[in-house]
Amino acid sequence: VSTSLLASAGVSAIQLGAAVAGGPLLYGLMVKVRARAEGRVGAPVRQPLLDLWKLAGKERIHAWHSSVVLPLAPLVLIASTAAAVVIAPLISTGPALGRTSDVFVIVFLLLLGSVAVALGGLDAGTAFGGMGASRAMTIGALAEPALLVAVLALSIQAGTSNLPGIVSATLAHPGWVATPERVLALAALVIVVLAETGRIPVDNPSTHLELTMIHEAMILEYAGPELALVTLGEMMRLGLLLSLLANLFFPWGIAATASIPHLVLGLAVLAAKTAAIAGMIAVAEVSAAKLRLFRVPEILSAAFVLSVLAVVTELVLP
Amino acid sequence: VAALALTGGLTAAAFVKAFGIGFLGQPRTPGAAGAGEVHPAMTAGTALLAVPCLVLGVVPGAVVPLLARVAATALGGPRPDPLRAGAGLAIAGSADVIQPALLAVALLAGLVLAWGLVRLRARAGAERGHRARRAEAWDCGRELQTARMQYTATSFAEPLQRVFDDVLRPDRDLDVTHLAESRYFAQAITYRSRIDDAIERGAYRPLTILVRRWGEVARRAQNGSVHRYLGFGFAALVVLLVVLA
Repeated sequence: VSTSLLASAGVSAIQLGAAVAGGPLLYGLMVKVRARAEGRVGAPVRQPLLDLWKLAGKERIHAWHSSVVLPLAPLVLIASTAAAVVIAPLISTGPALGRTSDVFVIVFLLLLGSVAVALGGLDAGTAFGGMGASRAMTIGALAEPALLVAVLALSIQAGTSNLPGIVSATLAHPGWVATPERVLALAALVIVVLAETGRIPVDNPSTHLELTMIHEAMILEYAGPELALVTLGEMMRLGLLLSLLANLFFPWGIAATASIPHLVLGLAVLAAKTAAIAGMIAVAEVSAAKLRLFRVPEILSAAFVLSVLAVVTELVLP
Repeated sequence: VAALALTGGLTAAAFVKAFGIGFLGQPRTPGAAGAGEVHPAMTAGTALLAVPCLVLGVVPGAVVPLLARVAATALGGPRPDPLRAGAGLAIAGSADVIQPALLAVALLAGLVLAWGLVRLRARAGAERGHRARRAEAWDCGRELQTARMQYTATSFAEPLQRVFDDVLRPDRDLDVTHLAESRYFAQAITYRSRIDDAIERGAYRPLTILVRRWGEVARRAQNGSVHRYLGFGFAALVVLLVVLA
C-alpha cells in the first residue's frame, strides 16, 4: 500500500510541477503562434515564465481601500487550482487522492478560484474591478451547466463520474471516441474551455481596451508578486483545462502504471497534445473576432444544448 | 445535474455580490466609513452558524451517517449503505470516496506553500519592507475615484438579469437629463430596475390577501360586546351537545 501511495504522490508532484511550468509555456506558445500567424516574430515561448519571475520580485503595492482579500485571493486561486491539478488524471490514471477526483470536485475547485479572483476584483472599489467581476461571474455561472452536463454524458458512458475512471474506461474502449455523444460533448467542452480560460470569442487575453475586458479588468489593481500569482493561477488553469480536454477525449499515452518510463512518456505525450490544442486555439483566435458581451450567453447556451444533446444521445442510442 | 450546476454557478455569483458589494471596496456613506467592529458577543452569534457549515463541508462523514439513520427510521425504508470511509463521502454504487477533509488540508497546504515561495523570492529580490505600500487605485489611469463610481449590487447583477430577461421580466426605467447647451452631454442619468417575482405574485400575494380577509371577518365578529361573547359561548355549547348526541 505504501509504495502505491508513494507512487501516486510522485505522480501528483510531477503533475503539479508540469502545471506550474507548463501553463505559462502553453500561454507563451499561444502568444507565439498568434504572432507568427499575424506576420510578427513574437516573444519567445518562455517569456511568460520570465515575466512571472520578474513580477514576483517586485514591490507589493495595494490600493488604498483594499482589504486582506486583495492579497489573499491569488493564494486561494493558486491553491484551488493546484489541488485540482494534483488530483486530476493528467500524466497518469493514478494520481494521489484519485478516488476523490470526481467531476464535481474539480469543477467546484475551479469555481472556488474564480470566486476568489472576483472578490479580489471588487476589493479595491474601482469601476473596472466591479465590471470585470460581474461579467466573469455571469459567464462562469452560465458555463457551469454546459461543462457539467457535457462531462455527465461521458460519465454515463463510462459508468462513473470519477475522472481517472472515465479516462481508464476510454482507454479500454477506443471505439467510444467516434460515437456521436462524444463528438457533441467535445464540441460543448471546447466552447466551455474557451469561456473559462478567457479566450476569443468570449474574452480577449491580449486586450487592454477597457470596456471589452473581462478577466483583465478584474486583476487591474494587482501588481508585483500578487499579479504574478494570479497570472500563474490562470495559466495553470489553462493548462489543466486543456489537459483534461485532451485526456478525456484522446487519452492515449497517459500512464496506466506508475513506472518511470510510462510516466515520462505520459508527460511527453501530454505536452504534445496540449501544445497541439493550444496551437489550434491560437490559429482559430487569429481568424475570429471577439463576440459582443451580450451575445456570449448565446454561445454558452449553444454549448449547453450540445451537451444536453450528448446526454440524450447517450441515453437513447444503444 | 444541469439545474444543480446552474444553481451552483448562480449561488457563487450571488455570494460574490453579497460579500463583495457589502464588505469590499470604498465606503459608500460616512457612516460606513466610520464603522467599527461590534462586541465579540455579537460576532459569536454568526460564528455559531458558521461552525456547523464548516463541519458539514469538511467532515460530512461525521454528520451524514446520523442523517441516513434518521431518514431510514422516518421513511421506514431499508437503511442506506453505511459510509465506508470515516471522514469521506462514498458515492453510491461505486468505489469512489470523496475526501473533503484531505482536500481542505491540500488547499491550506497550497496556500501556505504559495505564500512562502513568493515571500522567498521577494526577500531574494531586494531588501524592501515587508509591508505592502499603499497607493491610489489604478483603474486604468482614472484619477479621483469616488464611491459612486463603484459597481453596486444592481450593476453587478445586471448582465445576469439581462440573460434571464424572459423569465424575470424586470421593470426598467432609464431617465437621461441632457445639458441645456448640447444633447451630447448628459447631466444626470437615473436607472431603476425592479423585478416582480412571479412566485411572490402568483403564490404568496393571494395567500396573504386570503389571510387578511379572514382576519377582517374575525375582527368584525369581535366588537367587544359581552353579550355577543356569551352568545358565541352558548352557540358553541349547543353545537358541541348536538355533535355529542
